[in-house]
Amino acid sequence: MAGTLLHKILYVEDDPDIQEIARLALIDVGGFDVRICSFGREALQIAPVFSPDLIILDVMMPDMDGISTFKALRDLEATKHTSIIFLTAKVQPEEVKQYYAMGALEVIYKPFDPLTLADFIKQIWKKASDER
Amino acid sequence: MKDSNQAITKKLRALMTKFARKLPSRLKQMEDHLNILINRSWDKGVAKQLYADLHKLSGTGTSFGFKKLSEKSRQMEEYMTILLKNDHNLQSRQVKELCGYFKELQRSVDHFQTSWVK
Repeated sequence: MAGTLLHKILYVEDDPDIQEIARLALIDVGGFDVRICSFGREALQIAPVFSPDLIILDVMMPDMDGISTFKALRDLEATKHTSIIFLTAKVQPEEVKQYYAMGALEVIYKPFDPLTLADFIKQIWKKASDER
Repeated sequence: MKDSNQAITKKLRALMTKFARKLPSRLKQMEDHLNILINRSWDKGVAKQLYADLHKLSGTGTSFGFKKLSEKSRQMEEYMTILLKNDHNLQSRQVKELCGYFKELQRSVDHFQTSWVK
């Protein structure tokens, strides 16, 4: 949850190319401790063990999409209060409103710049921590 | 920053090259799906897969800074959105338009391949 030090990030994304860019952006550039899951169901298994400070969820995923994964994570004791950011290429305002209404910390639009993503996330985290 | 800028740039370039090398097989998969939609009856599952592949290509391409390639992929993706909403067998005009978008994408990939992959 925002307010603590941001160190561990769980990133859920099905596209292997985006996963590789995210590794570069979050690990090499950002220096975070990152675990990447390819599917929502995998995230539900990993999250309680990994105990991330922040979860980043892709919206459009096969089988279990970002919204379903968000709801399932909220049902787990371990991730009930974990901060979650949605990462989406869908820019419909109504959908974005829905993500915030659900309790998302932020909505980040794809495509992201691998060289600036980590700084952007740090800014979001700081802003949320300052507001607490 | 954990790694030096030079090391990060090197890694990013390696990822871009890997992405570029995989492009022909990705395009072939899209072509196969396109041929099913054109030559057989409308299959929503195949159409959704084609849409998803285009969506990924345009998104990843933009993250790597490959603007032209992403633009062409996005145009076809947007057209697929319309076809998916209609959800019925393609009319000859739609086949022509869809093939037109794909040819544009192919041209863009060919151009990209010659300039990026050595």
